[in-house]
Amino acid sequence: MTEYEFTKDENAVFEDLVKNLKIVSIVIGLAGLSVTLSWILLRPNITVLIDGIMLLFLGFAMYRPIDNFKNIITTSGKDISELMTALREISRDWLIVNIITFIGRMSIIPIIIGNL
Amino acid sequence: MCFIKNKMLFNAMLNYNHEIFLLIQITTCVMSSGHEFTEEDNKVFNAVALRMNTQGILLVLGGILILINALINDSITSTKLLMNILTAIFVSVTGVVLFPAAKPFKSVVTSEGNDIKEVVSGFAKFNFAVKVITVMVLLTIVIDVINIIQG
Repeated sequence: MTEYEFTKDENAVFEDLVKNLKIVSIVIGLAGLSVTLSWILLRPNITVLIDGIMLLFLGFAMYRPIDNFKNIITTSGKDISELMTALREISRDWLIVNIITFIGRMSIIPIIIGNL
Repeated sequence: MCFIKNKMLFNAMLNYNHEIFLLIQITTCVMSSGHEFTEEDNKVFNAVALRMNTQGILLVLGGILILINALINDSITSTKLLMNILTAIFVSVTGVVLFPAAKPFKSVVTSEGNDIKEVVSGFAKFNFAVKVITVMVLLTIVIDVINIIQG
């Protein structure tokens, strides 16, 4: 059975997504790097370090599926398998991002309580 | 195309030609669905929708916590309070834009017949979310730089 092939219009969505994912991964990655470096230099509180790590990983998570989306546009006959590979990577990476973000949010609570 | 299909279907029904009637029904079903994802694929879509919604909730919660922390610690007249309020808004917006992106991925699991349409709609909305996140992160960086300069 042949795989579904995305149309020209549908490919345009992936093309735009690839372009924007590249930009956002660089921006988030740089933000993560600067936040992590600021923690190393200034040692404010642990939340800053967790946020820095979260941003670095989110940047990586945004960058990883780009190749699969590119393959959807450029190759034919395996659009659905490339799509599913990209989605599996997003699902796996975003779970880690969820966990780091959760730890980061929880670490703010003692700081707020301490300041009350 | 739809008119021709309906006319053929009507003629097939009139002539009691059950084979043609069945063939048209099968063709119509395949053509309208495009592609139907498997049970295994649906689990992945469900997971992606769940992760996006969770991240959205965590970011909105993060924005609220930043706001509470700022209201407790910063004096009402300080520019730091304003900066922290803006940061809280930017973080919350980053979370809010993820909810509409997650919805079509969830629809792939729950609906039948237009999976591809839902997937493309999901990625189009995720694309919009990515653009908003880029702007919000850049604005947060600007605020952080201002905060550092002001000491």
